[in-house]
Amino acid sequence: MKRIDRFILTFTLLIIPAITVVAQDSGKQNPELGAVYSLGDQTLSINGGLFVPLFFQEFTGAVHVTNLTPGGVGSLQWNTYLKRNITLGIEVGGVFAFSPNFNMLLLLPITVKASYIFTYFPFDFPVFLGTGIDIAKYQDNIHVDFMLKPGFSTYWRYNTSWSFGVNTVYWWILQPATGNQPKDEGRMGNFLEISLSALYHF
Amino acid sequence: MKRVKIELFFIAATAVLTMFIYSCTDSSSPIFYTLENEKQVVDTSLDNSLSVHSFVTDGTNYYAAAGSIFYRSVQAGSQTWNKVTSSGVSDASGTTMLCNKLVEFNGKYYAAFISQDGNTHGLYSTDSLGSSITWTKATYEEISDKQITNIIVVNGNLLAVRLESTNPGTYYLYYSSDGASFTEATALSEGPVPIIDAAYDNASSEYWVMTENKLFKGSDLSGLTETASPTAPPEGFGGIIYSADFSKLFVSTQNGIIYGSDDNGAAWSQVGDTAKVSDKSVPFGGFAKIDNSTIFVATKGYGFYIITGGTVISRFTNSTISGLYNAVINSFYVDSSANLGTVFICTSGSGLWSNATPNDDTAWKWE
Repeated sequence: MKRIDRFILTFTLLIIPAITVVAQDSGKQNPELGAVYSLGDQTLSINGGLFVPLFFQEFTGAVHVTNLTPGGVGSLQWNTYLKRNITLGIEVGGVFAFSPNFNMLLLLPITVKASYIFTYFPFDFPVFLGTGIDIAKYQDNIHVDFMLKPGFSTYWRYNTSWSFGVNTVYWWILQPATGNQPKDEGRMGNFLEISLSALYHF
Repeated sequence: MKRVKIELFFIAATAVLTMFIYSCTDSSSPIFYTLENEKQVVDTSLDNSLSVHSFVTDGTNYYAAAGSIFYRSVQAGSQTWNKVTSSGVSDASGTTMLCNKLVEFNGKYYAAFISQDGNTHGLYSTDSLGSSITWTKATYEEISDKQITNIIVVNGNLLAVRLESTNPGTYYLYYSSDGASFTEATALSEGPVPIIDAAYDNASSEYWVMTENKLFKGSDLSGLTETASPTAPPEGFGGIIYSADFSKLFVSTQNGIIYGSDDNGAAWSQVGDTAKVSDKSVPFGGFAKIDNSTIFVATKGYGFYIITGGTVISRFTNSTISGLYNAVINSFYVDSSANLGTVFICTSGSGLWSNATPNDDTAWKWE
């Protein structure tokens, strides 16, 4: 396995327990919580919004334009509370954007997501990291890549069941050269998601 | 509670690890790199959904036969296509017939026309092209007022394929060295099988004529005889060309195989590997010489393939221009006058494509 791959593997395996540990140590705060959620509580959310292609980057550092138009993003997310301010969940989504010749790029990310939630009633401010795979399809080509999705959200608690909010998520997709491809054709995709959410607690 | 958290963590870690391992196993083209290098195709005014059958130039304009005939100037930067006004080719109702073949032969231009209802047709010619063209019907009885399905120019001969539309129909081949009087190639009364291509082997001074399932050859067009090799696959043949650069005769098939012979068809060997896309054999069509080391091969639905050095075949690589990458290609035209070496590709339903530097996959222009 390549050096970069080993680094990513190690980073991935470390990041989730690290978040969990940090979260466990900092859970005592905020006297005005409104409804308090705990282990076993779950949420479902639906998200949709704007997908902004930022830039592609070679593994050696050189930066290139994506040539993509802004696109659309949508996703479904399930989370479960481990503590009142820590959740772990799964997110499945889809993205489309267009090339200069109006060919459609499709991205299908499937990620595991860990969140730490700061609460200032009636607002929640989750800070999260998602990690998993992204299935990219363009013309006849399909690529399965590793991805990270750090981000933060702002939710307003409408009532004990429903919250509504805004997400800002950075997408970092690693697409190294594989097989017989020249090494310098590997790229890291950098994108930004700005989306709205409706979140249901149950 | 602690145990549940540990279990959830391990489930998540396992899922992420599995995803990561599988993410490293793909070997298709790098998508981000492809996007980064995609160029917007220059598009001139010709309708991109046209089915263009054939193409010629008179040195002043280019002409595309796509039912109607369209023209634009050969000058660099010319972007505007206009419709030619044709006279002398009206059907019984006075409607201008459709042109489905157009070739240049001995300084004149020959076209096959057919009415929209299919009842009126024939071979026509004109001395000069332009924004308006006056056509003259061929006077030779066996060609005049007949349905012409193909016109081929080979070694100073004009070949016309006539379809006699009695059920199930019969194709006849006629040839002419002056464009005025024609002779039937009697060996090719081929029943319902169309005559699709012809070539001349300069080294052996022999003509080759191809139907969809047979090959004929002979030292003159009146004495063609059927050859047994290579045997047509069930899907049929696609096209034939003789390359003086490689001293080789090439035959394409509808099942992804191209054969080559350097001894005038005595022995054939497969050129390169069988062309397949998603495990489906590529149906090849006709050929075109691009330069001394490159031959293009048309396909039906997969753009074109390239024969390099006479031995290697590979698919045109620029998948970002899907209109050409997935095109059904009717014919090629290589300009040997005004814009030397510029290649035009006539497609079925994807308009007309051109490239002044045809070895550059990114330089294609959608006319």
